[in-house]
Amino acid sequence: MKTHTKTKFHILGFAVCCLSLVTARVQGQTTPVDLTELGLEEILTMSIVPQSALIESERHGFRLGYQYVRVNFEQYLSGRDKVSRQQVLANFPVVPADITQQAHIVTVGYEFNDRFSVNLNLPQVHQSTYHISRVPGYGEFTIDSSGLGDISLSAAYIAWRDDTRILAVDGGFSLPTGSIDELGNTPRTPGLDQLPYTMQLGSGTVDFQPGVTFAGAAGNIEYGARLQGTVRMGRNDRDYSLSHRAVLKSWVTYTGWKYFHPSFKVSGQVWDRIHGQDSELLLPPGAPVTFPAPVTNPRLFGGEKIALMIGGRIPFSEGYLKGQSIEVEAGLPVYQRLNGPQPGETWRLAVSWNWSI
Amino acid sequence: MALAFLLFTLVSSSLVSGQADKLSEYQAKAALIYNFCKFTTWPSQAFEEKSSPLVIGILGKDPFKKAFDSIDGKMVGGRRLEIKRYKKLTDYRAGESHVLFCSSKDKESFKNDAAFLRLGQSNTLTVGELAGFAEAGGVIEIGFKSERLKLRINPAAAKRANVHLSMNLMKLAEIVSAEDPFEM
Repeated sequence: MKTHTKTKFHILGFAVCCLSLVTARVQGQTTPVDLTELGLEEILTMSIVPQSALIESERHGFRLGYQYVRVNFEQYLSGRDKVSRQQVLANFPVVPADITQQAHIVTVGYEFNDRFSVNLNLPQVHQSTYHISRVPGYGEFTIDSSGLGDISLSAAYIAWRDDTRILAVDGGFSLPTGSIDELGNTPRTPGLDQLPYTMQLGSGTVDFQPGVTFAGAAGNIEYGARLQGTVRMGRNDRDYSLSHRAVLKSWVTYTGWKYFHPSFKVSGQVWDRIHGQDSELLLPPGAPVTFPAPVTNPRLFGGEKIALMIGGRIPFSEGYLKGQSIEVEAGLPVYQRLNGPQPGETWRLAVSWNWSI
Repeated sequence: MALAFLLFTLVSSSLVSGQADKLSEYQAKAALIYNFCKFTTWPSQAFEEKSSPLVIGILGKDPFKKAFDSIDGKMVGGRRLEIKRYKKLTDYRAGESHVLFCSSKDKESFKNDAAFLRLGQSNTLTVGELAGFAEAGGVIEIGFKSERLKLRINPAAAKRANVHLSMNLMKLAEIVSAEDPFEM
């Protein structure tokens, strides 16, 4: 589970940068028409998109962003079927029962020209898991881990565009700056133990993240879709690699109101199991079970998920906050099919602030 | 699942396709200039031949991008429209264009009145977007206010430039000055 949520933090951060970039590109732009069909009076009475709005979207320079993401996992699933904690506890001595993962992501972007930009994402990750257990003395316990996550670098290029639509391609690398050696007090052995994959702060691998985005605007509506992948490059020092992942996201935003642009998004993702294994997570030979908890079994990762998100953007187009925007988004999964028993997502929240300097 | 998203995207696209479209500022200005051509009469000596094109010049950095694509080559008053671009005023030969759009990005060229003097009596309909363009001697100034384009016309400048503007055009504009600031 850590694999999909932690990776998701990177994806979310990166996607927000790309989405803000591409939606800004088309914001305020218009649909081509045969101009020779328009009469004088008609033109003079039409509502016109000022060039300043287009220039605003095309200017070069730095972009700063901050995003807070919180994702909660509670309900175990095996395939599409719900599995109770007690059922999971019957097969594993320890069960992570309530998992909260949070990330604070700072983004610095720079647009070199109308088509090419780069982004740097710096995530600070905090994870907290409440466990139940049938190990004496460890009936209930909570473990936390926090620190720098995997820093990612990416570049985006607008490969095609017309007055109202763009097609952008991007690619980036997530670097293994997050720890994969986080320790905690678990019932496995006395003292501090290596924490499971879900509680580590990074992937430990260099990850390639290609993406393609199509976005457009028509009247007071912006729309778009984005496909992004995460490809793990080899295995980390603990001889495993987290899940490969593909995410497809589609959105519609209404921009007819000056101070609030509500949005609706659908995202779907597929990801596979963990490849390899951290041998420190296994129980000693001779123990009745091999894996102390479901989140220590590499096979119990992967699945597919569709989530709906609603939210909105508050743009500041004038005053001393000009160029800044705040975005809030909350979502629920509507479909999950997991290699389980695996904790499923219950809800997520994202708040972001962006500033084009 | 992928199919579901494809469907969602298609639905999104179809939802938005029915929305009312807005014109961008320079699409609208290009459409206006096309209409100016229809509502302006040039003296016969403004054209070398009967079949000579009606030339629209864009002076300075071109803000129109592709907005003139649907206008270039169209016929107005029996003449084919032709778009020409001039980087700076010194590249422009007086009378070469019948309409000369002076971009707001080319403020330097129109900082002094000499620029208008040079264009005066050259059978050129000067169109500008700088505030005060009409008062300074330009024929038509296209302003922008509350998401609407506004026209301001200097009839004296039109007279000096030897172009005749239709009343259908004049009645939609604010008349800014009855006097030609360059009249000797």
